[in-house]
Amino acid sequence: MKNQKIKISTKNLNVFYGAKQALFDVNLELEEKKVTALIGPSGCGKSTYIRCLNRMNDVIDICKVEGSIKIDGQEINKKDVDVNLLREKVGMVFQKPNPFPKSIYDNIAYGPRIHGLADNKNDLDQIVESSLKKAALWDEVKDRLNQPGTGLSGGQQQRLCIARTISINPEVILMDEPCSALDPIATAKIEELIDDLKKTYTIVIVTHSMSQAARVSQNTGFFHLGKILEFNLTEKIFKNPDNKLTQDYITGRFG
Amino acid sequence: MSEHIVSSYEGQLKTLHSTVLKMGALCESQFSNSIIALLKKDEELIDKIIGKDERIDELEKKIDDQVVNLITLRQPMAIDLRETVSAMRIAAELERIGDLAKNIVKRVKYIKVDLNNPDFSLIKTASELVQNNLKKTLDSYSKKDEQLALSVWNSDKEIDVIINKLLEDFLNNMKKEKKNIESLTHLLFVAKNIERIGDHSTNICEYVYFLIKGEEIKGNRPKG
Amino acid sequence: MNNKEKEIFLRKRYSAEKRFRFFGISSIIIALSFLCILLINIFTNGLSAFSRTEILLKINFNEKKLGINSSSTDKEIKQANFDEVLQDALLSLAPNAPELKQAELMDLVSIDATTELKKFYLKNKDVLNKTAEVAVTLSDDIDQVHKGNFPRDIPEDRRRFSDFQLKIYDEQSSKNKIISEFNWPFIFNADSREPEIAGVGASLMGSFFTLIVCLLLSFPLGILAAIYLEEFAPKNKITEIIEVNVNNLAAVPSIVFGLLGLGVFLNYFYLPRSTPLVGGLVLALMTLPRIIIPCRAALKAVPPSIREGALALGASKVQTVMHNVVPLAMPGTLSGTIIGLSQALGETAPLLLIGMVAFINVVPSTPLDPSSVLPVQVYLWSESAERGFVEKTSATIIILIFFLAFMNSFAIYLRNKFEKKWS
Repeated sequence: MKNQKIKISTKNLNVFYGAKQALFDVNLELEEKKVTALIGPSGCGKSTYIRCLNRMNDVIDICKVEGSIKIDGQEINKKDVDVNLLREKVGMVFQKPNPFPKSIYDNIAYGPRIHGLADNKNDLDQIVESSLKKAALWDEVKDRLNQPGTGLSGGQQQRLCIARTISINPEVILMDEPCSALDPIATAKIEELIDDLKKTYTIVIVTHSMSQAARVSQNTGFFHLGKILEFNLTEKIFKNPDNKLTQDYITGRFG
Repeated sequence: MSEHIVSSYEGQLKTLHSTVLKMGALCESQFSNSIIALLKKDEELIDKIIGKDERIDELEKKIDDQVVNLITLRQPMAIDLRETVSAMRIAAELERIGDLAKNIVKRVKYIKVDLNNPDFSLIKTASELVQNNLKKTLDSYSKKDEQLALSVWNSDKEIDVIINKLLEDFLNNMKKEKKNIESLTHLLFVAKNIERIGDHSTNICEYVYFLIKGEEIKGNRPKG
Repeated sequence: MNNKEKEIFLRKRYSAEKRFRFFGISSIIIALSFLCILLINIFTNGLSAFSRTEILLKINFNEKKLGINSSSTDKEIKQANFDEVLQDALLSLAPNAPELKQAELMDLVSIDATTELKKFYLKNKDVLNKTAEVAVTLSDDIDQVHKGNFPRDIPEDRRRFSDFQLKIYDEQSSKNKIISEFNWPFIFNADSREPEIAGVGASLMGSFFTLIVCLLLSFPLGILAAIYLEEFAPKNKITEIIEVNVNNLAAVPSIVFGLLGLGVFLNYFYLPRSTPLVGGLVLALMTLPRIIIPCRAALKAVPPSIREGALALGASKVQTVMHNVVPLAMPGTLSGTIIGLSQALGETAPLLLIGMVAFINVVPSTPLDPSSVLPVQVYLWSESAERGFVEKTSATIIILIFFLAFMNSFAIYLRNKFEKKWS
């Protein structure tokens, strides 16, 4: 683990929702071009944690984030960081597929348009095609790019959202339970996609499915009550975790 | 260790554990009976031992089924995964122990020497040691005692020493008494079987250690 | 609980359900029957106003009597006197009538009859010095007789037409000289003291201009206010107060808005009285909260996941709202707006206060011309005594109902169209 480049590191990260503290001194170092899975019981703070990484918590008025979050060594948790530019670099895929009420084409083209990534229609076509190809969706939708994105199946919608995320060339992709609304086949396709994407992107995935975490990730972190209890190689966590709580959680003994 | 939330899962794991223990107890008695049969040349006991071997095979098959079921339906993780996987491996080792015990008694009718001869006394010593080790091994599995497993694992070298000494005694005897050659050849195989049983118990100790600690025993296996 | 108790318990549950269904169905039936009675009443009263009765008169367009010649300009014709030729034609219906009855003959036709003759002549100038058969509008009393709205058997001194007039009408009727046709003047004419030529044209235009002013003002204001309040405004005491006040404003009686209009627009800003501009301003004030509330509800109903999706792509707050949230909220907002506007269309009270109740006999051509609106026209005519205005009142209500139904269907159409597209 030591000789891997660290993409994201958080130090003494504390998050408060009003008076309630959601994260307690989270120190994590996430490796570049690896998949890091975050697991833990509901309300343990894993979603809160990844929402800190692209400052999505800013949307919530009462949310206060303290501590240091560095991406490539640059501090992002300060006032003068432009969140729109940050989010161009750190994309996010959500639990429920949320395509925009636009055509498939416009769904992908939206990001490049608002960030001015394409000079002309040709460029934009290129971006749309390559994003859809990277998301393994191109062959399924290439004949109906003008149809609404909401008309796709759940799994296709989620891949569309992934394509939308990679359309603006992020460096990090955050995924918040991306398969919880999908059937096993759609889930398998997304997992295959994640395997493929990790060659280019640093991926952080929050999941409730232990087996999914085991399948897709190289490193796994276990959150409990807002603290990170164990962070290690995925193999180690699922074969022989150091922490008793981790073991109890992944074997279904929590109670 | 706290219990599983799903009690039927907990039940299946417990059943698996107890089936392995049952198989272990059976193998243990097969082995000790085989030594008794060897010493007393008890025909009845020999038949009984040969007959019971089938039971061991059945138990192994049962454990295999339970393990495959658990992996398919429960996808065990961490400690549960190690429990399941080691149950299968331990069962395979126990099955070999059962076979070896059967093989010992099959050779009894070819052994026509008096085993009270001090030249052959080490066979009793060795078998007692191995029996003791096997018992401790099974205890370590039942009580999840990795220290006990480790001590058994380390004591295997004593057996190897004794077996080597025994070999020397046998060869000396054969040189003296040419007529004993046939019996002693068979007895040599018995001694080898006893040694093999000892090896299988150390293997089981390794699995027990892995089951409890989640890692292999460090260092090379001590050889006598 | 044994089986028997269970059975009784079950029966109680089922009868309670049946009772509830019965009450529900009966209340719907009662409500529907009231509506039916209202509609039947209005339609039976009002439908006849959509036709008018005319008499075919043989008119001799004599050059000397008209005082014009074949080279007269249109202006001269308009100033010419057609009374005499009309009198001649009417007198010829009963050549031997005593002088006293001659006036009754004159009253058979509408006072607008000479204008109709002028219009006819302007279109057919070759009839000069010839006799032509021209359809002339009958007076509203005879019109009502023709439509069967006046009983003939009441004593002569208690009705508005004489036995002699009735006799002439019957004679002409048997000769097929009395005809009915669709009452276009009712749609296009302005108001008049004479029921047979009074129309809703002025108030239709008035309503149209008023609604346009109201829409142009309240729609953008309402939507911008709603978007700001819902998406951008910080959640604090001030926005809370504004929110409560917007909701209260929707419940303020409309007459209060009329007083406001009178006090502010007329007396302070000196805007022209009785005009659709002021009417539209007042109605816009009234409609504002009725647009803001459904628009905010529609914005609230947009799933937060859409906002998060756009924000996570690095869209700014305004981009997120304008590109993704507002289009989704549009169907709800549009139908809310149209329902608000149709309420404004039916509003009377505030307009009375700003003088839109005046008698206007010219069709307005801009929002700055004095005019009336449909519901006020209903109010005005319902106070008139003539039988002709009774049916016109109902006919105006029919037109109003038609417009409301049209606007509401349009709202439903818009909603379905936009919603179908994306779900």
